Amino acid sequence: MAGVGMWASFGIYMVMLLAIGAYFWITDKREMKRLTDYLLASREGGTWTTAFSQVASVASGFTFFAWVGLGYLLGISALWYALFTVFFQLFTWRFVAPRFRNKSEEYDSLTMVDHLARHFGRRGEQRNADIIRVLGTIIVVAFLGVYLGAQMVAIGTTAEAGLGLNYMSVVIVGGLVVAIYTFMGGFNASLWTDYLQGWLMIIAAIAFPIAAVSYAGGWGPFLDQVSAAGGALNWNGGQSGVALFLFLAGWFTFGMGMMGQPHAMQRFQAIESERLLSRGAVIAAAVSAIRMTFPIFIGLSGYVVLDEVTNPEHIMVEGLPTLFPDVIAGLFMAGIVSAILSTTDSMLILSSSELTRNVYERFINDDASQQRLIWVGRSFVVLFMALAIVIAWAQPASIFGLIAFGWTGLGAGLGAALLFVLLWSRTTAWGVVAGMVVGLGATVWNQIYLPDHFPVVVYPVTFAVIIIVSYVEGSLSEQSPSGMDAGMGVESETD
Amino acid sequence: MASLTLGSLLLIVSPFLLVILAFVLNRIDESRGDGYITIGGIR
Repeated sequence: MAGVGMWASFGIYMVMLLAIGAYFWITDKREMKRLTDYLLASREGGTWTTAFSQVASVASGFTFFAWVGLGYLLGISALWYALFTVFFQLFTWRFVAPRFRNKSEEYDSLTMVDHLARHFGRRGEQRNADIIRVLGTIIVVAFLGVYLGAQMVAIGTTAEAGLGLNYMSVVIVGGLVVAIYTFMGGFNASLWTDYLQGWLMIIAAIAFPIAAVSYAGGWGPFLDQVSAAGGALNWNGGQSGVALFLFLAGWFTFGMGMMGQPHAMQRFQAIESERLLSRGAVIAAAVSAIRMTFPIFIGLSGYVVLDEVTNPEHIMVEGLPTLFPDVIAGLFMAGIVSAILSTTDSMLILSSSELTRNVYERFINDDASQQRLIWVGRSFVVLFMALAIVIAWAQPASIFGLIAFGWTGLGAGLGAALLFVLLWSRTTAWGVVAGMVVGLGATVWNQIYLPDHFPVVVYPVTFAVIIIVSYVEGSLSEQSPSGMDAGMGVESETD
Repeated sequence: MASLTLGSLLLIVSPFLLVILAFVLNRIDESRGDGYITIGGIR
């Protein structure tokens, strides 16, 4: 059961987050005139805040729950995913983000889906653009809803296993805190709370394994105890040949999801200039390397610190009181919640952006004033939070299962399409639509029929479909390829 | 006494090697004058 110190530091942290939201509510009130001010912080994001926020927005319940659990189960070999994650992070910052940032300002796009739709809308393909809008919004709502639900499950689990509190009441309180500061401060609050949360997350990730090694009596005794208790210290997971190839292919394709998380990609749309991306890539890669490497050792610490591990995903929350004094444990408990909240606020902003731009502004009220759109955006933040709480109420068993499904669905359904639109000039609207549909279908199929090798099938199939359909449409149609500069066609989608 | 193999050690440090790569690429970008990302011809 949690002591007063743990409670105090945890509570103070929550109040700080609310204070950040309140700060932007007060200071931005006069300046918040357009929807981009609320949903993209007026495209004035700095290098450090954007880099931290981009990593923190994908850290989620994955980092200190699912990833720790996999560290316990798979040991060192799980680090292949750390390597692939940092690789794709770097690739995204250097090769996708610069073009996305610039085109996003040119198109005035708020989100990935909005960007895809405007790309084709500006070429006069309004009908195709609308299909992409509707399909993309469905993908976001479906997969992000699942993903968001997983975050609320993780918050409730932290509170129940670590603080001894009632699961559902903490889900509701945690949900309210994040909804309130996002509602008040919009993207700016999300950016700055992510920055704070990112630091806390890094400190917690590094401190836990160090304390566990010290608890074991040093590095040698730590490895001895892990090895004796059955922890895996080999690089290949004890596999070879085809099994090893599939193991690596699984992590590699899972890492590709990094390029398609709309709530993380939205950070690139908000950064002040593409000039900041090169330096930001270094910061993001460093934060990402720490966040992906150290939790594996937190998982292995389970063999040393805990007498019995009933759920590997709970190792960190259950081990904190053993390794640290109350106040520090409470702070690190806040670090765990940070990883979750930073993802949750980014998802709330993104979902709100998608629904405000793609549904309300496009199909319901295209004459709405900017002030009205900001309030519609705020309303969607609250609505999505309510949806996440309902999913958390159902309390699914594995956080990893939910996140893996949501992560891949978004990566294949949206990320693949964006990647091709930005980097391959022959990509056509129907190639994008086909890629979205197949990405969606392949994610579900792979999960149901080939769960042990999820998501090996998803990306190759999605990429192939986009290429084939674009080639076929391109050769059949006399229309200009999409890579031609915007402005060639009728600009039917304007501000 | 249990110890890590060379393969495991390399795997542990590999994400950080990519950070060093990112740093080197950034230095190259900065040395070209305006900090723009120019590698791969993408601006």
